[in-house]
Amino acid sequence: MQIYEANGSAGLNASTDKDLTSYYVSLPANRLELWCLMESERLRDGVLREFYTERDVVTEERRLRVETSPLGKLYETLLGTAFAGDAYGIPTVGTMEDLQGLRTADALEFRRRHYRPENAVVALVGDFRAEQAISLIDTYFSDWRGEPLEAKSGGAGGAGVVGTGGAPGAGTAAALPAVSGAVDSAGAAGSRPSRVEVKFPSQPYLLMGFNKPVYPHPDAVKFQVLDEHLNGGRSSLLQRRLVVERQVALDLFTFEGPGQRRDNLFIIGAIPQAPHTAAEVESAILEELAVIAARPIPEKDLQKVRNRVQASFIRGLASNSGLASQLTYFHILYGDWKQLLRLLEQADRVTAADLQQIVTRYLAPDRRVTGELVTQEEGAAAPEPPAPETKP
Amino acid sequence: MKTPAAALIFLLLPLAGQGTGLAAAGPVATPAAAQRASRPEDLRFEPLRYKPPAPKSSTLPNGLSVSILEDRSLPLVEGVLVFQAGALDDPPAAVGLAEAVGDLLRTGGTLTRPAEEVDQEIDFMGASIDVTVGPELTSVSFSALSRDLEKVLALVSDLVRNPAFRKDRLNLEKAQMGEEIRRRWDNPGDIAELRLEDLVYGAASRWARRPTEHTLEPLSQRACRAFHAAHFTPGGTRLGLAGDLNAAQARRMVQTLFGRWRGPAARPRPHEEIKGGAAPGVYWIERDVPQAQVAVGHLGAPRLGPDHYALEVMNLIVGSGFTSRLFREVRTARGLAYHVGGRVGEGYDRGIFRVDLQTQPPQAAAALAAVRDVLQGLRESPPEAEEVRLAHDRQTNRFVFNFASPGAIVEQRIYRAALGYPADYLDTYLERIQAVGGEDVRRVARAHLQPDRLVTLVVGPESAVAPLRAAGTEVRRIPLDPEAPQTGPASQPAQP
Repeated sequence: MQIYEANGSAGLNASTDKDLTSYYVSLPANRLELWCLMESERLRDGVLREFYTERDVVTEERRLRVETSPLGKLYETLLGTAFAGDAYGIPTVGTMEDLQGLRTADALEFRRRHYRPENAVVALVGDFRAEQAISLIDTYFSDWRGEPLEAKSGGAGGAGVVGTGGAPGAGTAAALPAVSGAVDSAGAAGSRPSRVEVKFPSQPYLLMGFNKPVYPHPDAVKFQVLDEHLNGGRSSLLQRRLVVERQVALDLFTFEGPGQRRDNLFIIGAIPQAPHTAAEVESAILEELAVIAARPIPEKDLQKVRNRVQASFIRGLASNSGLASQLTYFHILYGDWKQLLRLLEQADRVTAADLQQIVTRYLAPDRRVTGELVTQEEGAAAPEPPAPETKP
Repeated sequence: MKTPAAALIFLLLPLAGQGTGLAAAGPVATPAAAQRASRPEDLRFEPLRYKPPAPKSSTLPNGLSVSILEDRSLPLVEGVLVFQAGALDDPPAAVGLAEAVGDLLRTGGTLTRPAEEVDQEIDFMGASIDVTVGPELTSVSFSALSRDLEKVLALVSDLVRNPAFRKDRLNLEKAQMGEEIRRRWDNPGDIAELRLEDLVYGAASRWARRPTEHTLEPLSQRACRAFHAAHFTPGGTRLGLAGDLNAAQARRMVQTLFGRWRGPAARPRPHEEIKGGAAPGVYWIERDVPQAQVAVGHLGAPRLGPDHYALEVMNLIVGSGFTSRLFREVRTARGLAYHVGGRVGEGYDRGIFRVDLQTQPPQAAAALAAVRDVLQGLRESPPEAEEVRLAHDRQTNRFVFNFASPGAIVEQRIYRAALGYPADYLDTYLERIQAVGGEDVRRVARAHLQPDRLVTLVVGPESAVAPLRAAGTEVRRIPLDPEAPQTGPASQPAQP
């Protein structure tokens, strides 16, 4: 890190989510070779120094992001309920119990299985010549090899979601397939509770999740359009109706989570505006969804959404680091970075009838799980142990 | 192309030669592709030759200053309008007025456009117009596809010049500000952030002032209009535009849309003499959460004082980035916290020096001791030559990231100017940073880091302060909300 910082790094960091782990850094353009040297060495001969100290740091990260954050805590609980027994239900940062039991050997084994050339995608964006970059990459990365894996090993290790047993040379797309179509059998609804409650010393919050398919399912792209219609800008349906007109919510947010490789949730979150309760906001949201299901949205609204999708796509190209993240993300998740470009055309073809169809089909009661954060009065509660996220 | 490694996939997107591309000095002579350095020290880099593009600047007869930067790499335009109006200008009985006015510029409609139409128009273009209100400045930033430049500029002009402050939108704004007040303490990090400011500045300072239910009451349409008339005038206001536009055309649009705008020149804002707040010591806000927020601090420096550049270097060494002393000591060596950072801040009157970290409650005392050691160490001896060089290198090599987009180039120039930085600040910055030596750092550390003046705030359960008490430290419990009636036992107000 000292070497990177001395060389002018910006945005040096790493992140792990359900589907992938990313390492990113921006450097002045004349430092490309330094990046090649540092990353290739780290991948080839990396060691895990100070493992136990860093493990303690991660427990503090968990306390910070989950245990003392009202929304962090509510989100973790919602996922644990929606995906009980599934990898998407396990917190990425780990439970406190898991973290405290981690050993160096576990981490080394995880790395051996997953940090392999056939699992990795690199995106470089910036001011360099392609031939020169290729030659540097060749020089530094060509002798990186994964250790041999025993046959049929995939899926067992740690929090891994999919195995790494793709045929040699199969590339990311083949090695890490999207798992879709399970939405009608496993995962959705079934016997899980449809409602969870978390107590925390803060004002109330609401999260509603709906099980839905992901790419390449043809319905997946329709959610991007629905998202914009519901919550893209102050004139969007939920902002206009719930924040401005009915004044039951201070704000709303919508996103998909927790990953994109398996069937996931479409999530609507709300910050209730007192005196209105989370339950009132919830029914208000359901009423607005019912309106979309009942009749097609006006063509003008659809055109507005298309314009917004297009403009936000162009804005996404503006930052080099943002673009690099999008390229790797699409290449790993969808098997081809060009899907990033196709998404725009696909979103353009979504119709009002499509929105009616997905709202009716997926934003339905049997696919819904609701998380409500309830104010815990200070001094009223026994401190709870940081353990189980899911209700039985 | 030879495949680099079994199936490692590389996606390359060279973006050389674009307007704001960071042009390296010509083709870098790669020392024969096959030759691989094994240590970073063995690499030699061509110097970066980069001169940031200068926006074209001018001032309209009414005093509005305009900066325009052409950059055609994407079909986008971005802009910002910065006013000398902020929370510091709130009347003491109507704290929150600047924020309400700023928000209502965007949401309250104009004399000719209903608020609903404004929202619809912005969204239909796929554009955005957002208002941010800070202590000193209100900024209206916008972004649009370049084909919509004129439409979005016309809208911005109407919003800031002819706001309607519609009654129903004002009521909504007040209701929302009330909800934000109720939610002020939802996150422990926010509690530490705000309550340390209260302790350090003292409740009487305008730097520790926040809206309350009481101060929202007098916010009326009349109050909004008066504040708007006094502060939202062309004199002292700055407009920046960047992106896919023709500078001459854009200037004509600005002339048409803002040229006839009139208003009194912004009055210079008087300084406040900061007396300081609570006595040094440990303060505790009880919160039933499994992690303690620890914040320590005292008053900081005035903006751009004689120690400015030495403080920049000292701040890097003390508490910024992965290589700072605080990070290395508290996180890397001892694993006590995920985030830790600190700096001597500069401010219009006085900034604040603060260090913030979060740790599990029983470790709060150990983390505090580590922070004190770091501060004491910097006062006692100058940093190692290596640390000073690292600070120089960090600033020098990452300097290009100040200019990462056309919008950023224009925006930061405008903000710097609005905050009183000299026009050549960035042009001379690196030279002046590189002139700072280890002894300078020790000198400013002794002047600006005062361990015996530290106010410490712990937010967390009793187990976070028990070890401190056991070691004989006096811990003063203070209420979470300074406005709320004080019911807690043993609560002791900060000394005036």
